[in-house]
Amino acid sequence: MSRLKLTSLLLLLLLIGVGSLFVGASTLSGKQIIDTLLHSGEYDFIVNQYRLPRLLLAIGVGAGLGLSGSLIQGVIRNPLASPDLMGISAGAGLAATSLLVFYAAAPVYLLLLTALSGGLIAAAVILLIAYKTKPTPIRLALIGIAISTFLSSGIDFLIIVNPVEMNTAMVWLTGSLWGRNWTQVPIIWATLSVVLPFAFWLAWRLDVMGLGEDCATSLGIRPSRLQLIALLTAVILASISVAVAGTIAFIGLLAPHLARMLFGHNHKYLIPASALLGALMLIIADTLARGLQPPLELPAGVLTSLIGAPYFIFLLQRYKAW
Amino acid sequence: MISTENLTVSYGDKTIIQDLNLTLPKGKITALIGPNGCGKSTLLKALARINKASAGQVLLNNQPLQAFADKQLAQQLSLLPQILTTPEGVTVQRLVEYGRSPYISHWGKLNNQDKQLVNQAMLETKVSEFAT
Amino acid sequence: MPLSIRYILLFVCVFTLLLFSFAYSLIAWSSFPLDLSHISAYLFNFDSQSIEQQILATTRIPRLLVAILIGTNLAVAGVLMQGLTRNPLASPSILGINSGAACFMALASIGINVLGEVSSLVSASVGGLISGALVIFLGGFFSARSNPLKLILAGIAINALLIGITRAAIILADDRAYSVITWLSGSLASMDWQQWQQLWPTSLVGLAIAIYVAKNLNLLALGNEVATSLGINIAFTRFLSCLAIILLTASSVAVVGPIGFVGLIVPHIARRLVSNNYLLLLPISALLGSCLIVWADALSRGIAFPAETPVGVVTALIGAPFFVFLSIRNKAL
Repeated sequence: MSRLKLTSLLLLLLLIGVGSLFVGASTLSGKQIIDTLLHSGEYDFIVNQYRLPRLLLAIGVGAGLGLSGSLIQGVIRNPLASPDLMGISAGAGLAATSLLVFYAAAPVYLLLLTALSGGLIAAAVILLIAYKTKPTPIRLALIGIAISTFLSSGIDFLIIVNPVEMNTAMVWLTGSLWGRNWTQVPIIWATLSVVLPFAFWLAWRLDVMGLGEDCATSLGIRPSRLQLIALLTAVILASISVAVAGTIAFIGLLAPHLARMLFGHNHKYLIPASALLGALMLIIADTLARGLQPPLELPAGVLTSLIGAPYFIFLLQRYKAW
Repeated sequence: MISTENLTVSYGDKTIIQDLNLTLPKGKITALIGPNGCGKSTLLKALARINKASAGQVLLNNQPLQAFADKQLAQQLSLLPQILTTPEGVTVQRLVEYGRSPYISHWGKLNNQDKQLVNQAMLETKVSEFAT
Repeated sequence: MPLSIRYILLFVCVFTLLLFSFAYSLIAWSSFPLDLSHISAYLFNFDSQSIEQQILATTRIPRLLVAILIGTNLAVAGVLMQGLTRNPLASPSILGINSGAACFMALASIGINVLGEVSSLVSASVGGLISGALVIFLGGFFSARSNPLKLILAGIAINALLIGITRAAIILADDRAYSVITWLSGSLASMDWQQWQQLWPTSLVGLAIAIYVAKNLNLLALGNEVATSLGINIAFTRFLSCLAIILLTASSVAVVGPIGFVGLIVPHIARRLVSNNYLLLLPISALLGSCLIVWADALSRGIAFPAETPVGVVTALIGAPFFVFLSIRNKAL
C-alpha cells in the first residue's frame, strides 16, 4: 500500500514537472517542447537552458529541504522543528550572503563550504542552548525562530548596506530559483546522491529511537552517535539547498508533516515521501512564481511562506502537549 | 553471567553506587529489591552500559562490557525500562520487530528467520490478535 | 522617602542620557561636518544663512523629533501589550501589528485599496487591528487553557504570512522592490517636518489614553476578580488599551515603517528599574524607548557610513538576541 502511494507520488511529480515546462513568459506547444528537448532547435534557450535546469533544481532543492526536515523532526521528536525554524537555513544564508557581498567572484566550492559552515554553526548554537536549558519542544521552536530572526536581520543588513544587485538580494531574502542555470544542478544532485544512503541507513534506527534512548541502547543503537549523524545529514542538506536557492521557508516543516499524514510513522517510507513531497511543493511554488504574472518573477520562497504560515498556525491549533 | 567489580556510578558529584561487587547467578531470575531512590535503576542501567561506570567495571561472561560492539552486546543483553515511550502510530507487530534490531542488516530489512521469530514471540505472549 | 529619591535620581539619569544622545545623534556621522556649537547656535540665535544650521533645521531636527516620538510610541505600546496579555514576549512587532499595518499600507500604495480612498494612517490602523485580532484569536488567548507561547508562535506565523503577502504584492505590482525592502525594515532616513506633522497628533492621543488607563492596569495586574471588585470596568480598560496600542503602532508604522523589538526590550528594562507600577513604568519606558531609537538611529548612520542602514535592522540586531535570552530564561512561559 505504502509502496503504491510512493509510486503514485513519483508519477505525480513527473507529471507536474513536465507540466511546469509549459509555464512561463512565452507560450510553447507540447510538440515544440518535445522537439526542443530531443534535438534542441529555436526554443533551445527557453526550454533547455532555462526551464529544464530550473525544474531539476526545484526537484533537488525541494527534496533536500523535505529530507532535512524529516530527519530533524525524527531526531528531535518535535513537530515544530525544521531547518528554517531552527535557524539552520538562516545561518547558511547569512554565511553565503557575507561571502557574496565581500567576495563576489567566489568560486562555487567556496560558497558551498561557507554556507555549510554557517549552517553548522547555527545548528551547534541552538543545540548547545537546547542541551543547556532542556527546553520543551515549543520553547525550542521559539528559541530557534528567535535565532533565525537575528540571522535574517543580519542578511537584511548586509544587503541593504552593500548595494548588491536587487535580484541577487531578493534571492537571498526570500529564496528563488530565478536566474539559476545548469551550474547549480550537479551541486544539489551530487549532495542528494551522497546523502540519500545515509538517510535510508538512519530510517530503521530512527524508528527504534522512538522507544526512548535507554531502550534503543539496549537494542544495540548508540543514541548520541545516531543523533549526530542524522543532524549532520540534515544540516548538510539544508545548507547546500540554501547555497543553491536562498532561504526557502516552510518546505522543511510542511513536507514531513504531509508525509506523516499519508504514510504514518515508519521512517522507511517517511524519508522518501518527505523528499518527494518537498520536491513537489517547490516545483508548484516555482511554477506559480513565474506563471502568475509573466514576465514578472515572484520569489518561490514568498509563495511557500504564503502556504506554510497558515499551515504552521494549523499545527499550533492541533498541538496538544502544551 | 553478569558480575561487577568494584563498580562505582555517579551522576555529577553525587555517587549513587559505590564499590559494588555483585555476581548474578546464571540461569536464575534475580530480583533486586530496595526503597525508592536507592539506585536500583541506576544499577540496571550501568549493567546495560547505558550509564557509564565512574570506577570499576561490569563483566558479561567474564569480559568487560567495553569490549563488546554495540550490536554484539545488544544480542546478549537487553533492558526493558520501567517507563517506555510508545511511539505514535506504531503497530504491535512493528514494535515487536524492533526487538530484532541487533540482528538485522544496515537497512533494517527483516529476513524470513526474523519474521518467524517475531511471530513466535507474539504467539508466546498471546498478542498476535493485536498485531496490526 | 528613600524610594522616591531613587526614582528622582533615575529620572535625572535617564534624562541626561537622553539629552546626551540627542546632541550626539544630531552631529554624529554626518556627511557634513557639524559640532556642538552649531547646535547651540541653532537653538539660541538661528541664522538662516548658515548651511550647518539649515541642515539641522530641515533634516536633523525633524528626524530627531520623529525618532523620539517613535521610540516613545513603540515602548508604550509594548508596555501596554505586555500588561494586557500578561505575556513577557508580547510586543507590537511580535504579535503582528507592525506587519499588519505595513501590509495594508503596501497594498494601498500599489493601488489595492481594500478600504477605498483613505489616508495611509487609517489603512495602517485597520491592518494592525486586523492582524492583531487574528493573532490574539488564533493564538488561543481567549481559550480556557491559553498558553503564552502559543500566542507568540501564532504571531510569528502571521508575521511570516503578512511579510510574504507584502513582498509578493510589491513585486507583482512594480519593481520598486528595493526601496520597499528599506521601508519594510523601518528607516528614519528621509524624515522631514511633514512626517512629523503626520505623526504627532495621533501619537498624542494614543499616549494620553495610555496614561489614562495606567492606574487601571495596575489594578488589573492583581487579577480580574480583584480589579472588578475595586470598580474597574475590565472590558473598557482592555478596549482603551487596545485603542492606544493600535494608534501608537499604526502611526509609527505609517511614518517610518515597521521597527521591531523596541516594544519588547524597553518594558523589560524599565520593569527592572521601577517595578510594576504602570504610572512610573509608562514614562520611564517612553524615555528609554526614545533613547534606544535615537541611539539606534545614530548607529544606523554610523555602522556603514556613509550608507544608511535602516534603523529597524539595527534594533533587530540588538533585539533578537534579547528575545533569545528572554525565551530561554523566562520560566513562567
